[in-house]
Amino acid sequence: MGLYHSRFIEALKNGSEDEVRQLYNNRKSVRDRIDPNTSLGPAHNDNSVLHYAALHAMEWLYRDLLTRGGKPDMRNGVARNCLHLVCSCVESNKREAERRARIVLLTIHEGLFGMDVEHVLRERDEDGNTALHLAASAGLQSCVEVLLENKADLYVTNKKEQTAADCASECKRSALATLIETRMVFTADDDGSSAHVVDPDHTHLMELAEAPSGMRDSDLRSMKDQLLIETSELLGVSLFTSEALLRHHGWSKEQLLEAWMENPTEVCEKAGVQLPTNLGTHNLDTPSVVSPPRGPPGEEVEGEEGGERECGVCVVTFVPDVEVPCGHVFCRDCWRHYLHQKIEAGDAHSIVCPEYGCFKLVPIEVIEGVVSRKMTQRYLQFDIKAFVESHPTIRWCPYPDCHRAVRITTPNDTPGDAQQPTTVHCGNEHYFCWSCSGEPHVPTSCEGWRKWLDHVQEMAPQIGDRTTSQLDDAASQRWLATRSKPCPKCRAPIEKTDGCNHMCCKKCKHDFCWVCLDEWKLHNTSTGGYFECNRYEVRRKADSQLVKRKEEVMEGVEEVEKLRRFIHYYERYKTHRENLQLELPFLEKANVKSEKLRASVQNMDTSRRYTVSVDMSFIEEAIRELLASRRILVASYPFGYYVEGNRARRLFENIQGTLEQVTELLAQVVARPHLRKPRAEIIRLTSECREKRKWLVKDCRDLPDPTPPTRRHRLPLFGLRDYSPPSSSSDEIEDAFIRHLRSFDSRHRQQLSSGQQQGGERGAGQREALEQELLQAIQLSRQEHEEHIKLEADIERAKELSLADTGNQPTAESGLLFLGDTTTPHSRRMTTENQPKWFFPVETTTPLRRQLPPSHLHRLSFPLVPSPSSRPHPPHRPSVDPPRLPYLEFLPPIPHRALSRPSPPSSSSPSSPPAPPSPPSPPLVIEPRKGENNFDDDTSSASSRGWDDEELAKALSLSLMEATPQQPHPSDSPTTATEGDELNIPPWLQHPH
Amino acid sequence: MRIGGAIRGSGGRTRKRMAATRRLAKELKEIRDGNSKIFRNIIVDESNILNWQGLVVPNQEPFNGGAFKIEIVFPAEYPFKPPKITFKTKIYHPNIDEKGQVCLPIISPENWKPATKTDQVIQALVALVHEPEPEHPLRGDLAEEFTKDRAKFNKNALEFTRQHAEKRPAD
Repeated sequence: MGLYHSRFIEALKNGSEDEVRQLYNNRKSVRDRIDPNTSLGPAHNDNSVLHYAALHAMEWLYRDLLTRGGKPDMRNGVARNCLHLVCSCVESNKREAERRARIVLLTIHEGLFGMDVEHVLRERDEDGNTALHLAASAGLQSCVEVLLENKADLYVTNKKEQTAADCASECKRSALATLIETRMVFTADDDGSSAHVVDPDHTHLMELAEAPSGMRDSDLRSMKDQLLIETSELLGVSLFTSEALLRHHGWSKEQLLEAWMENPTEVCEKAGVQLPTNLGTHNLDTPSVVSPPRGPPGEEVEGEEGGERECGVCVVTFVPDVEVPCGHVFCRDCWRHYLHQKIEAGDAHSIVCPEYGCFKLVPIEVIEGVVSRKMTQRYLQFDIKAFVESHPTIRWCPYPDCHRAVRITTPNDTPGDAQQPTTVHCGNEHYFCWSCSGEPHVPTSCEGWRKWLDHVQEMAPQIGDRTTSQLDDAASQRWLATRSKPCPKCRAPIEKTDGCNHMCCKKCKHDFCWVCLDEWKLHNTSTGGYFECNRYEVRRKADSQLVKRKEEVMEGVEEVEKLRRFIHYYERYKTHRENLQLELPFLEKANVKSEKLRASVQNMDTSRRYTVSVDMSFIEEAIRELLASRRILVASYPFGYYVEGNRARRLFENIQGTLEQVTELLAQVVARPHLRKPRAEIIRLTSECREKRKWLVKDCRDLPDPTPPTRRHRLPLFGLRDYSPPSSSSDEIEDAFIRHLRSFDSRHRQQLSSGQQQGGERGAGQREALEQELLQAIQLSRQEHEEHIKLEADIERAKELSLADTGNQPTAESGLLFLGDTTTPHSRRMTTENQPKWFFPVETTTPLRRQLPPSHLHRLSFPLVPSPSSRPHPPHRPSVDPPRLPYLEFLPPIPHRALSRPSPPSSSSPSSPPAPPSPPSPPLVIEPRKGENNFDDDTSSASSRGWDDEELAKALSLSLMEATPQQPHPSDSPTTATEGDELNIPPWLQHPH
Repeated sequence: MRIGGAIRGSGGRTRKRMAATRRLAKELKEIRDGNSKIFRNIIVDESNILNWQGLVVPNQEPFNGGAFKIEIVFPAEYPFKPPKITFKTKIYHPNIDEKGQVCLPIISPENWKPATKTDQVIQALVALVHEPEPEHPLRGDLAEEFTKDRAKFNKNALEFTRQHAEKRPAD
């Protein structure tokens, strides 16, 4: 009897189905002895009979065992349940695969009847794999489909951070991977979210993407041609003339017209063309060959017989055959030589007649007729090149072998405004800074960026990293810095090779002095100045700047602390750069992926709503956004490095952190072999990332540029009535930042109210963002106050603490520390570094309600709405887990962010004493609010009480639970203060259900 | 435009050199024939016509108390590349530095015209000597003096010329 049983188990283990069937069917003893759920012991890896039946896909046995009370959710030794096992067979033919799918179906419908199927499907084995992971690895497509039909969670990752799609592609089952990915991206099982697919709002968001403004050679040519045609029609001159005129006026039709109205003759004279004699009736098609070349006045004519003349260049006699408008004649060889030389010098713009004192331009027809076709080609190239270079709003893409140009469209971004960095895109996936043609570096200014690159270069020996390309960048920047000077107007680097100090920028025609870089006007006697730049005083001024620069560098090298600080920023900067490089290839893959998914979606069940062709652009959009945010983050570290003032820096870093966080989330979803979130979620993340990115850029723009400290007076001023400087230590920059933060508050509230009118998903999304910002604001004001808090207040609180909370004394160690402090008041300021952590313990068993009275929230400047019906508050609320709010779940409290981004050394807090049991709630002062919902001075005092992020979050969510939905009236909110424990939450903070 | 027609001589590098020599020979002859009082005593090494020396004899205050030796060096690519002029005699002039370099726009590479004759270059040079351009100085101190205190400048220039300049030819 025992023997049969053993044989049965052995056969079962080996999967010999026939033997198993025989024993099971023929031996009642075997049948009777089997308990489907009992583990067969460690030798069998704690598998039960049911497990084996599932593993070997013995459908008949499995079904029978289920009817005998088998529990498919039992786990074996590696924490696998029957679903895991049935999906974990590696080699299988189609029939077996289908049998396994039937078993899965059977398990779900019968074995797990009445149980939480989704929960069982989410169960993970020892390696973190769900049944779906295993089925995907095994390539059991039918099993995967059954699992998906039954709402298996697609987004679970195993211990290797892989989703089921990753597992499938790891095992080279790409079709299956695509299937799973499609289902992940296009969640069809949820009517609500599938609506997103056609949500016009999101499409709209996508369209907000910055359009590339790159121009090809042909675009440039047609742009130029059109401009020429327009102008020549307008002025009634030939194309050649209009070109010369336009070139002379910076390609601005408006400027040309203005000058033309005043004096057309002078305009032509200056531009090197002749004023058409028959203005108005001029034929546009013929070049302005106005007079025959014969016998120009003043020309020395020799050997007139037979039309022979002497060439003024090579003094040979010849028969003239090259005609130019000015009538001067030279032999063809000299013309060719002259034109070749000019074209090779890249002087396409201003090839004038070779005659002494003649400044008439040589028409293109003459050039084409004289030089070789190859040279003409080059001339045309140079012509376009010169057009771009002399055009104030067009620039070449600086990437090697990229022949595109970029036209800047913002009217106020003139080339002279070098202070405002603008990233432009040539359409060839090359991004660069408009102002300095370097790597894009928004939000850092060009100067700050150069300084940073210089700094990186200086530090290179110390950080032992010479390989990265930015060091090369820095080297070339330095070369430029030492050998050339930037044109004071257009910033084009200029190298002086010879000549006097009166420089004229080839690009923008700006006249300036090489020595002092001031305008030449100031040096010219005819305009009221005189040359004095070699005088000692002036030289000394210039020299002292040099010395200063050197000193700066020396300081950076010498001070170790500075080095450490630098490395902090540098490493993050470098990490983002490297990430950017790693993520760039995803953009290329985006199209392939889109096509793959599109095909896959169309193959999907036609009963679903994806029969129409789906817009796949969101994938590319998401990756573009990711890259854009990465670029911003790269440059944000140099910016942060140069931000002045602790508070301003921390504020900046919080904004930076927000972007960083969203960017990382986005990267985790899209910068992977397979997309990991539903389409709607990707779109949401993308737009959120974009929003945060723009926020950061705008903020940094509004902030005074930290690099040149002299520009502090240019502070943005926001409407501010009840604001007074929080403390003497804060400087202007910080104040500006605070003010700005306030303007956010109000700005977002407006957004919110509009969002609420529209209702629906969008409002919720905005609300989330807003809530997050508010959390930030709370935190910021708290951090700020922690620095400025006075010791007396701490002593007082300490007394209260010790009096009121006799049962729960702080630990002896920390208590001593603190008491020691009290004996010497004013001896130490409370800072983040030395503030005792136990003061407001993080973990508490007392009801949160008592710890964070609503007045705190009130004083944290939330616009509160008075409650129409006062609801009494229960004296003791059981300590419950707050409901999971989207923003808490999705965006954890700010500084301890998911991305390991430690705060800079300056603000890192040392380890604090362990948290003792809870103290009572601190005393509260409720003051009536006045004015706007801004951050008052006392705002920070409320927040200063050391609420931890988690507490705040909990408190917020707890209060949200109590909130009753009501319509907002933001206008009347602040004046009516709430009382005591009663709190009403503004609707925009309510739980989004 | 008419294209085609006879051109004498055939191309090549030697032709260019020939062009330079032929043209300089012609120019030299013309200048010598012109018997200019202001630019004279032209010495040209027969083996190297690309190197000229001559005497500038200004006829206006404050430089009319002496004469100034100059050197003109023509490049092999002349007349497609401009000549270089240096003063061999010291001169108290805002546009001529201590080494004798002159900042003369018409022979700067950007402005050079192949049809410009050496005679025209000399004329421009003499005009510059006669009428200093303090707006484009090579010696700022002299430019400042010239602008602010012309009398003092003239006095200094006279004295300097007396001390350093060459003797003026008798006629």
